[in-house]
Amino acid sequence: MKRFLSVVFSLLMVVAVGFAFAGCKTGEYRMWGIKVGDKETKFKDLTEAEKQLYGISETANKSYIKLKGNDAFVIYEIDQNVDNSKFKSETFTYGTYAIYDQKLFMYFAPATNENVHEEWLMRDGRIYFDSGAGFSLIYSK
Amino acid sequence: MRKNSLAKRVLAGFFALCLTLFVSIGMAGCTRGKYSFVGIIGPDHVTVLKLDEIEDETERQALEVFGYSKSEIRLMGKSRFEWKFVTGSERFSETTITSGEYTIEGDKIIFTYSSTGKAEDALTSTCDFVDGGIVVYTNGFFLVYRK
Repeated sequence: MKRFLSVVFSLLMVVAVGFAFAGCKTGEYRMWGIKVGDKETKFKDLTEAEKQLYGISETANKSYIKLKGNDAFVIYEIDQNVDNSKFKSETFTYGTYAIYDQKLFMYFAPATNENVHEEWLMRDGRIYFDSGAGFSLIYSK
Repeated sequence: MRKNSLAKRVLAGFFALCLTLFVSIGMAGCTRGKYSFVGIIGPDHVTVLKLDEIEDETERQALEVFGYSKSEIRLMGKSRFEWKFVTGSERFSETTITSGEYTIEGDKIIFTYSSTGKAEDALTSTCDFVDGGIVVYTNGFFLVYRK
């Protein structure tokens, strides 16, 4: 009986740990800043020249990546010069994801309708998206 | 006698004001709202072809790839608009919403938008606004949107 109970509790523990583990990865990651080489800079500390150089709009910190519990994700990107600007361009990208080790595999279908995937880095509660232009965008919870 | 005439004039003025107000609200109500993509005109036909009536597979795929087939235009308030394009399926999809301003001049509707969100990058697109629908010219054919 004791052995049975101990097995049940162990199983429950594994499930609870599993849920907790999944819980810490899911959620909304907001645009935090950029990483160039080893240097990480907060969005609010970026100079105008840096924003221009990296093509980051003034309201880019409203962008986010939302990892949902059912392996689905949504990425929200916004291009707007200032908060009260009458011009705005918003994109919602929906797809699925998988996390393995420190890698975040994002599966999505761009306009070409081809199912593609990208490998992003996931470390210390942050997502690093390599822009391919010498810098990474950092998203943090 | 004079009092009567003044009262009549005041009443006439009041009714004229009310009429103007109703007409302007009615006009605004006519144009505002959601215009959904219904089909295309051209390049080799003059009637509106719905998506499932388009025989050319490449043409139909192009409409889906560019997000036109599930697109819609929303006219809001006096001059705000949103143009929504959707590509992909339910699980893997991409939705782009461009917001800007519009003006109506006769049977034309002029959209001003900026894909960067910056006013200096603003572009204008002049489209037909006929029979309560919007007709947009693109890549050799016309996209038709209706309420």
